[in-house]
Amino acid sequence: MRKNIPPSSLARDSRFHRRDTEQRMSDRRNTDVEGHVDPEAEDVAERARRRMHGIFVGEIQALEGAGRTAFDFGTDEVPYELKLDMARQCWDEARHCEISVKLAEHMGGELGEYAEFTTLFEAACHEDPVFRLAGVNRALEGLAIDVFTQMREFGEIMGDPILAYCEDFMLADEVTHVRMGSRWLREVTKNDEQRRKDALAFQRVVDGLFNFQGQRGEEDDSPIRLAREFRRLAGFTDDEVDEIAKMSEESRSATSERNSARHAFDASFAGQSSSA
Amino acid sequence: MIVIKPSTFDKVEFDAERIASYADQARLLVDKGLSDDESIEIDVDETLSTSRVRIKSIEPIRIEVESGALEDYKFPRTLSELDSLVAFSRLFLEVADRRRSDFAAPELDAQLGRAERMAWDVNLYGRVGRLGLRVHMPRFRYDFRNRHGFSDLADRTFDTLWSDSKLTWPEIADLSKRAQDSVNADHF
Repeated sequence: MRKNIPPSSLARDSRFHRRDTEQRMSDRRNTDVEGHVDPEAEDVAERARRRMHGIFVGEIQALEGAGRTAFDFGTDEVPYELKLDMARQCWDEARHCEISVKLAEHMGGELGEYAEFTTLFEAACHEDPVFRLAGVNRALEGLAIDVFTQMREFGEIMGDPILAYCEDFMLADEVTHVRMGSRWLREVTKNDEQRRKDALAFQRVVDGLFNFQGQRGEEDDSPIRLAREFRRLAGFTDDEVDEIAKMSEESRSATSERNSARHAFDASFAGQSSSA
Repeated sequence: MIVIKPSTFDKVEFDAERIASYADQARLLVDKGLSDDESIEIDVDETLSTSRVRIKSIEPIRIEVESGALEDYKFPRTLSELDSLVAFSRLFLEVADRRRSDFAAPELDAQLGRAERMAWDVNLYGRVGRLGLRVHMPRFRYDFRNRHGFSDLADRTFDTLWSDSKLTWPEIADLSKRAQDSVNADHF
């Protein structure tokens, strides 16, 4: 079986349409509104449905990424226990896929309704397994902690117990996945400080990419709120979370003018619009 | 006469002539309440990827849509024929409702509550489906539940709103209120 496959080789049926990160970033519209699952927004159900589909395809790619990391490297490159952890993660991600399919249906979505962006799997294609752990298990599974915490809260606010419970179950697993990444990053690089630094730099690049031009933050109106408490449980230091918040704040400042325009536009729509 | 603004697009791969053609098809589908020589102006906001729509004026018809309302989500930034037809049909049905005195619609600039706005939407999209356009009913049920509670009563209310083409605005608002009242939650 071939090792180190590119994102374009992922197997999908005809319901899915794949887009890479470059295509994703080429959308010059203001996309932070659609990413903000704000219970006050008139079209919040559509925003939540879109996010749920993003979570679903992310779970598929996380399954594929963990499976690839278990398979792509021999025990001469990584400890056998690391491969076992990746296999356990596959088990979790497969369960998350099933939960996400059910949740997407519960929310009125259809599989393949939205484009599938392959950003997560792209981070899982690095030739160094330590970089994969930093990029996927720490940066992207860390993002999953933020997103699942927020979706759980959204379910609670809207009185939707199915969404709230499912997100809570998945959130618990994500904390474990981040801890796995933190553990193996530390152990595999214990005699190679430079490799660890480079991997953490890669993690920051991935984190920066997934700040989505400042969407992540700790303010109540952040489209994606940093879940500091759960990140701490997962092994992130406060300094690391501060750094993500700072990166996001810098991106947000750069786009503050655009956001002001967005708020004015939202206010003009209040009470008069519908989601098509 | 259907006018699309802007006439060319920079951030999305939309074609104004095709949008006008879809709007005209939707006008023919809706038929009642709209005339053959209707003057229609459609403002497309291509700066936003969300899918909100609204009516700005009834006489003449002026509507505003965000680019996501006309977009094929599977192929971002491209125009979707079905979604355009659905969005325009829904808007024209609301125009027709607002022109009927027996419907007793609220004023155009009235600030409707999110729940009652959603109840009207459910009724409109149910009727869009009966025009022969594909609408995914579970999507609207979920949207409705988010504003009226995840309960059997909310689901029964949804079924009535979705399937009854003859409801008036006071009846729609009353159905919405009763479903909301049954939910012991103050966040809607």
